[in-house]
Amino acid sequence: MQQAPHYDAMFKLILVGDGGTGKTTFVKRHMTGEFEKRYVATVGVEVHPLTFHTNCGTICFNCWDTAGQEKFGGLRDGYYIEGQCAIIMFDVTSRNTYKNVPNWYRDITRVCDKIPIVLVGNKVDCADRQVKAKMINFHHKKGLQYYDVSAKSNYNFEKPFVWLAKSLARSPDLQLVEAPVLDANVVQLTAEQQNRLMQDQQEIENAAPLPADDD
Amino acid sequence: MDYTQVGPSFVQQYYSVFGSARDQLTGIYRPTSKLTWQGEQMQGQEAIAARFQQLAFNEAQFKTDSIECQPADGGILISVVGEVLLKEERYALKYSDVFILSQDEQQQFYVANQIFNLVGGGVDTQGGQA
Repeated sequence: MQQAPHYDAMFKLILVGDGGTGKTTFVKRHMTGEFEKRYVATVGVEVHPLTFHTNCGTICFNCWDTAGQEKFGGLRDGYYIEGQCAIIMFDVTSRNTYKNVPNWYRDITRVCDKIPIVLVGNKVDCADRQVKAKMINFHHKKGLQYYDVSAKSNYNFEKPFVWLAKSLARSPDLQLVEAPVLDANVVQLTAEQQNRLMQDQQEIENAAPLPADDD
Repeated sequence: MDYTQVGPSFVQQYYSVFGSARDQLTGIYRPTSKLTWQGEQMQGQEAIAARFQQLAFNEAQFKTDSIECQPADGGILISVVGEVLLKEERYALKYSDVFILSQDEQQQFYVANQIFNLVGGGVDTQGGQA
């Protein structure tokens, strides 16, 4: 017998980005999602159900993580079909992964019509950041949201999901009522790093305010 | 030329090199060689070498499930189905690879045509639900 669903709404979330940007490490931080993940061999994806408790109810993102197909080239349309929201990830220590963001955006929007998309720059805990906050402007043109994240330190982990949930629920007031349980094994950010990241995020937010919901 | 010997032994060697040092594969392609890699068409050993260089993995283990060969116009048609496991990935990916091997004036075999595709990546029949 199937268990009653323990969420109020569920969405298919497409997670894309170049190989090695840290997509798998990122989704694995969410502990219940990691326990409940399942591999769909026919499709070649691992689906992580990531639940978030919000003031608008419990939201489950079925996060599709590839098994490395992108390392051979683009992904098949089947990966994108019925996607309701997406995260495009790049690695801030690798300019090339940022250069490929427009390709991932093109591939998503070719199959999925007007879904909310968040751009995230991962590995901001690394000392050798190559893609500086000021250089990140792709999201401005396309109405996407941007967040710095660090999968290894859990920094900003929930931010992309909260933004997507707001957008999908059309509730700008949506917020978490309970923090998700994340992997406690973290790399600590130094105080200096935290300060700089805060300044960067401020800069990014000032440059691109949340786009008004026009529908 | 015994295609039942040449075909499978070519395939085993090809994947063994591809999985460890694919930059050394250039020699088995010629300026006329055609490759369709995951739907992307290219011609010539330089274009092929450049594409292989861009692939975002180094080590890979290929395991063939079937290697079917036919003699074809003095060459060999080969169809392979198998699984490839990338280092640092948890799951092997199914693939299909088709070759036409031809012989040059020195009776050396080279890849005249090749079509490589990962198989699957269709829609989840269970609706993406966990």
